[in-house]
Amino acid sequence: MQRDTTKRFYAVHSWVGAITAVLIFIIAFTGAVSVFGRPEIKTWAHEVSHVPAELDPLRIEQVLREDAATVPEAYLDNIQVLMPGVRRRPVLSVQFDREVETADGRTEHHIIRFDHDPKTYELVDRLEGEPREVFENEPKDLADFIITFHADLHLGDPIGLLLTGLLGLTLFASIVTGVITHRKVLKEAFTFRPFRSLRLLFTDSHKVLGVWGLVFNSAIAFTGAFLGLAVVLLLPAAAYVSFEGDLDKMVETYLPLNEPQKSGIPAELKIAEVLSAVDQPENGPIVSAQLLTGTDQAGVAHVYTLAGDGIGGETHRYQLNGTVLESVTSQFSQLGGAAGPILDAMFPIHFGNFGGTVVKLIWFVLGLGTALLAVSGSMIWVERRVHGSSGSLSVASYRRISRFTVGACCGVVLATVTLFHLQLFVLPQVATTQTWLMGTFFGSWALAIVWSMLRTNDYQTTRELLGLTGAAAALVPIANGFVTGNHLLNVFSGGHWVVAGVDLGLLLLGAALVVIALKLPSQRPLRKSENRQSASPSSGLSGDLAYPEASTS
Amino acid sequence: MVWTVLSLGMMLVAAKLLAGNGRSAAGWALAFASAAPLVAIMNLAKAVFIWLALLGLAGFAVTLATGLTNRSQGQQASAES
Repeated sequence: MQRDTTKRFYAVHSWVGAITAVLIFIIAFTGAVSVFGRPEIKTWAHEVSHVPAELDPLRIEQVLREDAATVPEAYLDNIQVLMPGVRRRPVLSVQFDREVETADGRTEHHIIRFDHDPKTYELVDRLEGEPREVFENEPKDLADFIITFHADLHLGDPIGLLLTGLLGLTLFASIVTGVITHRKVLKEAFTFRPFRSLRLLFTDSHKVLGVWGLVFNSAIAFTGAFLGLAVVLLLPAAAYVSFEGDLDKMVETYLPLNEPQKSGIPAELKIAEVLSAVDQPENGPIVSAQLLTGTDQAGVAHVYTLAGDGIGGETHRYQLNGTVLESVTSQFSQLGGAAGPILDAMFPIHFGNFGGTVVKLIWFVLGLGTALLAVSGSMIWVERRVHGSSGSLSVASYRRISRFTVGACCGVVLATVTLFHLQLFVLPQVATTQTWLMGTFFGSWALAIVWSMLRTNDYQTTRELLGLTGAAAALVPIANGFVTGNHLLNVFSGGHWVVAGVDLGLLLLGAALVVIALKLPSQRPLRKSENRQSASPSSGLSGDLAYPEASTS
Repeated sequence: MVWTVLSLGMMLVAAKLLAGNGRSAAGWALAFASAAPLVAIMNLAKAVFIWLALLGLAGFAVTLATGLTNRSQGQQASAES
């Protein structure tokens, strides 16, 4: 390849990275946390689900019948039972859905939802309205907040989804231009020289993270771009081409609910038999079950499970009179062709929820690697401009960019950890959970950015913010023990394993951040040659690096 | 779970071989061979995703560890001289 072409690719890599680095860090970090969002952090957030409830199909069927007896008959044709502690719900929810015709001839859904304690099955809440209205009015927790922030930065559909989808594409562009620019991949994969100079530490870290995480980052970027853009651009575009813009018609055509024709012979509502049939070791945990025309002999049940042997979640379809229709189908795979399994795999590959806790841990660590890849690239960009010959802006401008990067990146980690304390001490006592989550997260994040912008020494600011975040994270398990009584020391007697896992993770993360904060230099380290000119010979580290007494900022 | 951890262990050894032995064919062979148990117990696509991620993690860990220990080796060598 021509030298000029390589230079052009490098320029694209450098500028795309510089512009998007902070956003990529934010998305990648919250994505890494989101890997454990559902159900682990959600389980941690709700004391009622700390100890997992045994699936009791007969009791669930009884609750279903009791709830059904209190709603109008028109709501009984579409019933969903959402299992506690598996994905989105800390409680057992039974939801009745009815299609209502509006004045202008359209149809819209109206739901009645009953929330039950997952162990005692007592009714704890009853919500009614349009699905969106019910969703917006229900209490939110930190898991919901972090996952939504990762998906659309809380900017909603379409702006947020469009932005995160485009960021996936820019990450992919950075990966491609990075691979073209760095052609000595094998050599760079094994080169890490942390003690030579600051710039080598940044560049080696960036290359090692980039090369070893190449496959993971490519998969994350591609699936992230797809998930972000699918709803906003891809599906409407497909509907425009093939269904004259009618998105609902397209969804009905390709993903039919297979609503059965009523036989006219009444039947008693039942779900226990179907749940018992699906609750087998070879299947993943049951997320939800849907009964269509459940009060008729021709009624059908769809039971949705997490991934079992396959990559994606599965749908088990049963005739309620006892006949098995289809034991297992994936969602898009039923379309046939090569695209179905690929579409089914998009979500699990992105969130790493197809192979148990070990895969989730790997995804979490590699996700943090993606975040560090972005921030190390940004550091290289700034370092070359503040202490090198690149760039056309003043040094002061690059320092401001550097301070903002430190505040925004360290700040988002601090803000995320702050939410754990908010979840423990405030959210169970307030009704306006979303307002509290927004205020605390964006407030603490903004404070970190302001603090960083007011300081002149990035290195000291990084240490302070990381140290504070580490201390806050390490305190979460202790606070959790005081508030809920469930902590690491009584996990064997209490059986709250998921809670203990989250606590342990936070404790380790907190300790690691405190150690890193203590180890980091408080000022920019200089090479010996630089140091001889500008600093006291007695200061700093042994070896190639030394830290001057005087501030360089 | 057991096979995933075992695969990670084998790939750590492979990555170390690759890092310290001039990117040897034996290292690559061991790295690829570690995918076998995963493939045997899972469906192929799932195993490939897990294995590629594990390889990335193992390689990254070994390169980092090698880089960090090089400093102490260098200090030891200079002290001896």
